[in-house]
Amino acid sequence: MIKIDEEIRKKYKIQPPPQNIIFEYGKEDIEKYMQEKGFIIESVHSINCLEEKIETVLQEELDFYIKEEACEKILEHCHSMALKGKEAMGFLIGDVKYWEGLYSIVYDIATASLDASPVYVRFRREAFEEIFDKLDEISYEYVMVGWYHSHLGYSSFMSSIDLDTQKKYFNQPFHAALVVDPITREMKAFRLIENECREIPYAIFK
Amino acid sequence: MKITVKDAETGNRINMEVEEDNTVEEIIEEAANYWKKNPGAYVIRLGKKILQAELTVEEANLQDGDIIELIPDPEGG
Ligand SMILES: [Zn+2]
Repeated sequence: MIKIDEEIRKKYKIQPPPQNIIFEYGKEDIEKYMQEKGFIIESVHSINCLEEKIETVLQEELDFYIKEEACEKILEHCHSMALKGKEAMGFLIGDVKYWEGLYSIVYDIATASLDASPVYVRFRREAFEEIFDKLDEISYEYVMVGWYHSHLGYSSFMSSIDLDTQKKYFNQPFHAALVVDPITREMKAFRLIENECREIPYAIFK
Repeated sequence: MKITVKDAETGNRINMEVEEDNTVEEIIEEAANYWKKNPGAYVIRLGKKILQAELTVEEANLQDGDIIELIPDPEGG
């Protein structure tokens, strides 16, 4: 017999959002940011992607923050995989906090060997243990606040397969999806709001 | 014995009482039902290893106080 004793819900720390913002999406140009960091690809053959594009509207409210080091790891990963002609993917690891509403912070990423093509990506089953090693290194009570993956020149948007993943795993109001395209030089963030996929602004902080 | 199931997506945990002959699958089902998740959609983590769903508590060598974590298995396109 299995008996549930109790559920212990994650407690959200009450804390103001990060102050040391170095980039704010919507106010600044992400192409310029990516270019300065060297994470863009000058020219490659364009890939035809037949994935259905989910139409989204950009929300105004900022409640998604990415630490600079984590952002660089994401852009670096997407860039290096794109050079091999493959999509990249990983988990966004961080925390959820409260200040005039819930907001999420990405402090780090966890990724591993991928089954990847120019139009598809998934973790290799045996690679999960690499992710577990990474999770073991984290000293705070982490939350997987979302996931990132890349597109190879067919722009940044949520496809129907991306939306399925979002609905299946990352369907809470603090979850996000980052979609990076090193070729079209875009990085957009999305989340489900009342079960609808919306584009959201994000800020990168030091 | 008492074990904990952690949901990596939210940080929420469930403490539960299990017996030696319960399977990992049954444990995950119980937690997933509570959280209204699809139990088959997750990779089950025990420390640094993937836990096989068909094993019993005894076969998996689960110990009192162990934490099992539900890890998403996303697909992108
Ligand atoms: Zn995609």
